[in-house]
Amino acid sequence: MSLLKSRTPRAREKRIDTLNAWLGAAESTLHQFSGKEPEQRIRAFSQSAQDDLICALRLLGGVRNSVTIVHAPRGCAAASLWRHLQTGGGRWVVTNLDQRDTIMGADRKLRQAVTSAYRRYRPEVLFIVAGPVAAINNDDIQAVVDELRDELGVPIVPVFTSGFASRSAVSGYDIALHAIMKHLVGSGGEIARNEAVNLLSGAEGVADRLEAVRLLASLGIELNVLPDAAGVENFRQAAGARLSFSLDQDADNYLGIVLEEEYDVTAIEQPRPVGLRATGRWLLAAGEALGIESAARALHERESERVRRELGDFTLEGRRVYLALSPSTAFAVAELIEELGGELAGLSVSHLGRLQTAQLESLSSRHPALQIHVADGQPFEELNIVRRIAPDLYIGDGAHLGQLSRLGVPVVSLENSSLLGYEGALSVARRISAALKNRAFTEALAVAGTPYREGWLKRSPNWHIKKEVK
Amino acid sequence: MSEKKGKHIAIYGKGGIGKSTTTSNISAVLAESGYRVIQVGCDPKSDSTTILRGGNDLPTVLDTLREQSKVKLEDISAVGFGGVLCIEAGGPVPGVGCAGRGINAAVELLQDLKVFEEYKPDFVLYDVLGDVVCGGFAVPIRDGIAERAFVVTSSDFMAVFAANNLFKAINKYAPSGGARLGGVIANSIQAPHSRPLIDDFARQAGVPVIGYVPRSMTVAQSELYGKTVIEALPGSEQADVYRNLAKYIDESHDSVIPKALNGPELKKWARSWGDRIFEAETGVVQNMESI
Repeated sequence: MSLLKSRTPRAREKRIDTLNAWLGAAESTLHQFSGKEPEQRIRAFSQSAQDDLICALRLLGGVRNSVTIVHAPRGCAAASLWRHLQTGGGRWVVTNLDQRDTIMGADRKLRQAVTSAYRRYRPEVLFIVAGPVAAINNDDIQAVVDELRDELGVPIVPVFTSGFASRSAVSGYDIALHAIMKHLVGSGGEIARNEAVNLLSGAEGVADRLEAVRLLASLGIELNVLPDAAGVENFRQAAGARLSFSLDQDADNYLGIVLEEEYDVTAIEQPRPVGLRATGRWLLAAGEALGIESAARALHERESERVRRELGDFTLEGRRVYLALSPSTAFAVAELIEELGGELAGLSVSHLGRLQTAQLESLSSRHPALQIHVADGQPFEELNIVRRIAPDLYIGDGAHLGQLSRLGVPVVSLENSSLLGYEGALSVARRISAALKNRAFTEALAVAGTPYREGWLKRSPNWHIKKEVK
Repeated sequence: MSEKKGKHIAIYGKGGIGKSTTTSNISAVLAESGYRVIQVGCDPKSDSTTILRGGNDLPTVLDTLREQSKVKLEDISAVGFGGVLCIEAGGPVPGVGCAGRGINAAVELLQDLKVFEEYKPDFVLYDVLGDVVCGGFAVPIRDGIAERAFVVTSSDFMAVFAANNLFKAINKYAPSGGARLGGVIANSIQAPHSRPLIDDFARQAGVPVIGYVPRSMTVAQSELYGKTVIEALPGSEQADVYRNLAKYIDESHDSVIPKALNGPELKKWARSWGDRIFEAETGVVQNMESI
């Protein structure tokens, strides 16, 4: 059965047992995945978190020469601002559904939005992203797509997010990738084969992508980079490519699966190339798959030698580091911290599913008692944990840095900064070094104290994480 | 959808018009003929499959979802007469929530549980409340879930009105892959004008009437025993009526996109029938017409 037949892929918690709420030792976390399915937990109190709509908009905003129509009330489009703030790109329009539209349906409004967005921007592709209202009142998006695709002669891709159907925001990446492949490439047709290798890159910053491209291109590999900064043609080309390598096996996983199952393009999944060892493994895997192992090995030796020289005597020895990142990044950075001589103090990950079991297993064998916290958002829980552990350094993706800084712990944000490959290792080391040396700012912030009262902080960090009793 | 998907058929009609009775009897005939059948009740009242199950209780999909986070097929289904797999979508507590969204969630859950792939039915019958064709209740005829819809109507104006609404919905969704109309099932045929009235309405909409089900004590009696006519009185004339309906659904693949009447047209049409019935009752015969 074709994966692309359904309207949307299965939500992450159903497809790969993704957990969204958990606190426990690495060993017992791993134990969760030993049985048929892990026990899902819920939060009795929750601070704001992301949803699938946000993730889908984030991914689609990166597709070159596209316009995204957010078919939702105006507030739902706020998520699209993220890309504007981050990269200044991503064109979007919101249909601004009002009271009348929720009752009567809003296909006329949608038709108008698509037509005028097309006339104004002449994009290569239009995405219609459904928000919660369209998911509830079942607005007939498909009819608008069918009608205008022929009339305007441009691909129009409906993306059926809802904001509530899945507990895992990252399901939004899968939904968007599913829609793109279903409507831009389709299934069953003849696919022309090509010599390119897909580099799957959906969640990286530009610097990281450039580093990966630099390394693979220097091995003479012809690359087709997608989904971020890719155009319609890249998606079509991807279906006939030789292989796929992914830069983030969490965000890009579903695209790899579709390419493999629908179009027979083998997906090579390696943990993220973070730090010298992991980058070496990542390059060697690429070299092995393409029969250029010795060139890959030589490149790795040359680059790592250079980085070691530049790192000099930099070490994290004696430093306890707390990480709060997306899961594939957190496990990869954990290895880098140890490579630099540091000690792991604990991990907060935004979600955790079967995609990470191998890395979890490796971590659990090294540090069975290391505490793993699963939370999307939830700065209170994170701050409470970090306050108890009192690490020497906190590395996060930027979301909670403001609050965490008020604990007086030096912080490093990996958002919008280079992390992958040899350049990434150097950049992270430099940032860590700067944060450890320049402590005056966080120390000054610590005087203000945390935004939470003592009574709250006395509660155990998993106070609000409950077993679902149904 | 699965490779062996079976025929998915939606049966609509105004509440209380006899669509569950009709659907259950059709399911029973199909099962009797050796087919694997699933009947899915898509009505918050959740009584679609009662007479296939001898009146026994069956937890609805939405009640089960409310009570437990992991739902298995055996939690929400029961095997009824002739092996028909009975499922009730159910709905929220009356007065709250959104029943239409409930239908949506229930159908998604069935797809998630891979019910159709694993049970490999020859027929899936969706018995859907047709009073309000809001987005949610249109789910079975959208997105290629059911390929054909049938509408059950009596000669009551409100039933005809509901049928006309369904025609509008089919008109809207059929061009983008939604279901087409298989035909009209005329139910509760008793008064002399019932049959010609439904025939005339069907003619206006350009759709076939695939069978006439007379109002019968046999049905009421069987239902009191919690059974379909096929099970309780298999040799009755009424059972043969249902057998003919099921035979048509099994053998015919014809379908149309109906022409729904607009408000004033429907009103005018209804008024003309009001006049004809009045004239018939008061003995006026015009142009040698008889009804």
